[in-house]
Amino acid sequence: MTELLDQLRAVSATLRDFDHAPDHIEVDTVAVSALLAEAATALAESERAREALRAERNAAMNERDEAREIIAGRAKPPTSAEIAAIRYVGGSCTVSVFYGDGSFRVFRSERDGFALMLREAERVASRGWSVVWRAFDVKGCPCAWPKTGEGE
Amino acid sequence: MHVELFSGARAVDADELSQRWARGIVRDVLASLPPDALVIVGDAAGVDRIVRSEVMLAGRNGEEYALDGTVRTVDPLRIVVGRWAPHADVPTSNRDPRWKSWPLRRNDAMRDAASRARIVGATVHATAMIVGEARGTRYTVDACERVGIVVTRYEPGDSL
Repeated sequence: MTELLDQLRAVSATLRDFDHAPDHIEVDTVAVSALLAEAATALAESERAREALRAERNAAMNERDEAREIIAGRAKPPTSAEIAAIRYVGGSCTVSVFYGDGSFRVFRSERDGFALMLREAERVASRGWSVVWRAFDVKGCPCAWPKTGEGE
Repeated sequence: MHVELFSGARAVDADELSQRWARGIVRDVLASLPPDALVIVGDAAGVDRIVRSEVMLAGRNGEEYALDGTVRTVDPLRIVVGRWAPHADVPTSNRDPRWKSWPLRRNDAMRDAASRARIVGATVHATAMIVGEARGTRYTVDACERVGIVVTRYEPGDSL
């Protein structure tokens, strides 16, 4: 690409000086045409590469946002479809409830059950305190909430 | 300063699964407390016993409200640090009309101690582990909520 640019710059310089050039100067139009075609191809390739990089960057940014969402959790309680999906894959979930008195508790689905978690989260949220739900995969690693197509 | 009041059913002693369940919760709660937190607990079997053992294990600061009217440190020495009821008021026989409700009076005293701590600036929270009927625990939950102490209730086998 750099070599091609140097060649184009050289041709451009020659053409710029064309009017002031001595009579014997000759321009090989075939060579210039080939050079320009090559340049056009290189530009298209470079554009494609840029698009690919842009897509890669967007994918990385989406992944980052998704990871942030996983870490931060969400305030919305899981729907029954999400609960079923979590159970189906052998995952679990937690709800961290922050009471106004400075205390907090983490309820776990495998120990405390969803009914208790939903009830406590609703009680806490109705008082204006903070509630954070997080989903975990079968290995116990934080993961995204299952996509169920319900309530989206 | 933070004060955590524990109340729970004696029935968790009925099987190992319930004991494990209660112990897991107690460990979680103790781990979430600030280092200078004071744990208030009774001297009963079941959840109270588990809380006392976990408080000792974690080297936490705890006070045990015993049915003999004393307040003791939660450690192997069980040093008396005060009384929640005068010696003369403690029923000594099951023929005494106060005998049956005495544990509830003790629970009231625990609640009152937590409330007093709140007045002088402490944050106060209560944890209740309810298994079966758990009359005393439910009574304590109501008593705490009546004075504005937030209670987290745990019940095992609560599945959806």
